Amino acid sequence: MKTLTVQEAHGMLKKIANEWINHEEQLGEIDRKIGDGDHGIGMANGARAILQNVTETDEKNLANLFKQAGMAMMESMGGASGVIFSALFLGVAKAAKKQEVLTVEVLASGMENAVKEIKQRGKAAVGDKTMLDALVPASEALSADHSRDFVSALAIAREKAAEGVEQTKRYPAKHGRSKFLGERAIGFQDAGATSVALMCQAMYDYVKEEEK
Amino acid sequence: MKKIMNAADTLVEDMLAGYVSAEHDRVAISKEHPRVLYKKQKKTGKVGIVSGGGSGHEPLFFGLLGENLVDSVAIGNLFAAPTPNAVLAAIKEADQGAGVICLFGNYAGDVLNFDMGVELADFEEITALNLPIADDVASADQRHQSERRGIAGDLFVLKEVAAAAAKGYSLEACYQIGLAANSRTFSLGVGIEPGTNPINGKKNFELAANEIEFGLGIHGEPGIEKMPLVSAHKLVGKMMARLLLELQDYAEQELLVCVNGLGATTMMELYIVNKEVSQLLQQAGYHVSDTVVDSICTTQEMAGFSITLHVLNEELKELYQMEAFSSCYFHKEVDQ
Repeated sequence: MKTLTVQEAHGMLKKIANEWINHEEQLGEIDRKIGDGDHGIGMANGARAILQNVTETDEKNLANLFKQAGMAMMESMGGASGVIFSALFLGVAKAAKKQEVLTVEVLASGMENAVKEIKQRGKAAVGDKTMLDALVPASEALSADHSRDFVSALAIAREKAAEGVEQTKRYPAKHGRSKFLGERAIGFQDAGATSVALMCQAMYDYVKEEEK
Repeated sequence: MKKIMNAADTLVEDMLAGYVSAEHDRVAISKEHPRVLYKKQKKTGKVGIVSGGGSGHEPLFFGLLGENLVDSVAIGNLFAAPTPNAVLAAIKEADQGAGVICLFGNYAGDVLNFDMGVELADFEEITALNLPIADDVASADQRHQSERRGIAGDLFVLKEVAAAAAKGYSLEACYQIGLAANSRTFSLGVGIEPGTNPINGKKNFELAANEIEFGLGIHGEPGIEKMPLVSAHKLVGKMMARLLLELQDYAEQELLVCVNGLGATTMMELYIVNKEVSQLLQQAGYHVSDTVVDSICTTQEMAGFSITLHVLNEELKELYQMEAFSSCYFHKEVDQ
């Protein structure tokens, strides 16, 4: 599987949204250890807005589909997560301009856009115990080889994102509300990074099932 | 959990509808965005004052919409910053032709969303400046003052910047007032019981029966240390020792004081706290120009309080003296 149609990309977005909704409790628990515990609620809100606001009428255009998903998250979530997670889909929307279908190359370039935007807006870097710790390795894995098909590209991205989540346990927090914990945050994983890993897992699951 | 509410997904809208019904002669919901409230009375050529933040901290932020105070507010979901579109709509409602200043607590989410809101306003030819308020001394040391969280000190910074705007100061002059006021505002809080998140019913932190958190943030962010509950005299003494360290660099001896309840702490307790605060300040040789004892910056039924000290200079004092009123705050101009 080398390309996804707009309809298939929409199916993948729905899969991601459902993955976040299904993990609402778990994300809340992870966040409560070192944050204020509302990451699960926020992600589930954003995910429900994607399911509700992104419809078949948005399937005419690939860039528009991802833009709608990004705007749905931004407007429904608010908070830091609203801006940061909407940047993921808005980044892909930018890369998908004038593209008929989603390729590994377009997805990789979209993730690169998102990483750039999030680093700049959030003034964060890898190792700061944020979602970038999962997103950057996943993005690099996607960009490493554009010739791969979706299943093998996303298999590596998903693995790298999950490793990134594990890495966050080693870091003190430098951003967001857990920043005030500093060293006390060591030993706990970052909730935002976990949401990125869930997204990569959902994308992988989607293409794996579609391939059958 | 026992909360008076209809449903989690109408929580914020229901509250805003109730507030606007109570204040309908002065305040309305923006037609541009359902999460934006604005003060009806406008004054052409005045710098607009925007505030905002997550819901759940009432009466902040909409409680400060009022005469010589805030012109519009952008309101977020429960404990989550308002969206960039809400910030943009609030900026448009506050714009009276001389630019807009947005004042909000210094949290990552608020900074991100207000930054994007200001960028969007730029496309619409409205100049807006962001001024994140950073008064919580428990959240960062003096060298990193600008990284501190914003808590109840919001009140004094907002009051003075809004007075400057009302007196016809330019955007740049208002902004400079804001920077000065912010750098002279120091708060410290303690939490003694958690608040409950009305959406998921979870407490925002955990403490043992006789334990309190010294330096707790308003979202339940951990503070400096957990300690046993002691007398008001001892507790306030410990808090004031920390706060007075911040005042050392200032020659001025004139202060504003706010004793802010976090939601469930009674007025009786807050006045007991203020007795200790005022005694200690007197002993230390400070003069208190005005004291606000109330629950303005809260987190649901969280128990505890914060003390804010704000060091005045001549200009800030004059601005503070200007009459101002809103649904939760009143200041009458007095000759001193």
